[in-house]
Amino acid sequence: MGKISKSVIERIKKNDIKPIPRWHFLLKDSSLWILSVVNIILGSIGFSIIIYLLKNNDMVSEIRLANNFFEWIVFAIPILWILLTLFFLFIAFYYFKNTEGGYRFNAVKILLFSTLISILFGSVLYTSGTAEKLNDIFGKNVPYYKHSMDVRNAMWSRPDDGFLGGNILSVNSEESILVLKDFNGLEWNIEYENAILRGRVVVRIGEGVKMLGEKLDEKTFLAREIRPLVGRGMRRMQEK
Amino acid sequence: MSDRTDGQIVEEALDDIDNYKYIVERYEQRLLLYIKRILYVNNEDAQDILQEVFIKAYRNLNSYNPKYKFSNWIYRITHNEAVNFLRKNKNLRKNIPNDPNIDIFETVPSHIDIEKESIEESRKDEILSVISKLDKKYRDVLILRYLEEKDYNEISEILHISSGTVGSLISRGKVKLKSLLEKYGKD
Repeated sequence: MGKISKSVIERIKKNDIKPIPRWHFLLKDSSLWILSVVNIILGSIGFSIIIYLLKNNDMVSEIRLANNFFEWIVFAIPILWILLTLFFLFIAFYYFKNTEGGYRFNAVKILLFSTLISILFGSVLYTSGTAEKLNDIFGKNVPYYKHSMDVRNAMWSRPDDGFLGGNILSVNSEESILVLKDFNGLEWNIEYENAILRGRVVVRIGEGVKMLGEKLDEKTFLAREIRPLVGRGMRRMQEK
Repeated sequence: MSDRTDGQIVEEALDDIDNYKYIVERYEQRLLLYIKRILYVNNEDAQDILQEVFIKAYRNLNSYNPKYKFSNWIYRITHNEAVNFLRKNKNLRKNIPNDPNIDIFETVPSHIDIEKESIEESRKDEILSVISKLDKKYRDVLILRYLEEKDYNEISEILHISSGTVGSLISRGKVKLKSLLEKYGKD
């Protein structure tokens, strides 16, 4: 036996060094794969909510509504979701790179591939309505959404400028008049006979709506366009 | 034991530690040389590092996947151990001169052909000395490619970078090496 091999074997025996069990390595590699897949799923969810939020925003008119550019950015562009989606995709990439054969793949290709999967799966989630449901849940439970809601409320609490939002308290469909409680708790009589109903808005009690129109007096507003608030989560929050 | 594959010896070593000596004996010279080449350390330090390599390899023996070459697996452990050694001994980096105007260029011909597939044994030390002037990322791939004579896939497995990255590092490293030789090498 050579000098080094003798020394190595002696040290292994003396310190009672044992090979780490195979399951330990299998578990580690499986965990990396699972974490990678989980993050791609999270990225897909993020992407689906981005589509949902963008589809439900009229970004051009929001420019008119916003008090400043920053407010418009916060309101019209789902920055948080874009950042979160990028974060999830990066984490998925990191875990994948650390799997047993992950290093073999080109970084750009991995990122493009995981982004493509997220886009595809995210589109499926959006189409199936899952994005809307998830948005509801986040709206109810996540602080950012509440903050986002505050910004939205401020933007739609300007009846003098023709922007009013709130919750429908009652509906008189024969006379095309509804009663709306705005975000400041004030009640308005809304005339909506000639109003255009946008998106999936339904004029019914409890519905959260935002309206473009004209303030006729301190208690009356003429609605020219009625749109839904983004997601039912926002409506529920408003009901609180 | 000489006719046994690495994979077979690994299995036998897992059953009986005494069989591990065949792995050690098969790789000790190659890895010792490799350690010296990448760290520029003396024989004693290289042997200490090598022992750590074999201990670590034994501890992680179950992570070896027989689908791949054992030599790449153990080269990777050696490379990692060398990186750890450099981290722990930051002063050692100072021993690798960065000034291109050092004596070594006075002995190295400017026309050394690094692009030849195999470099004559007598030229390897000269090449190594010049490679030592390059950034670590180029040093690592050039040493594996031209001194350890590994192919791109093997280097990819050892350094855990894609073959494409290996190719571009080698290509850029060669250009840098050539320019150093042309600038400072002996005419």
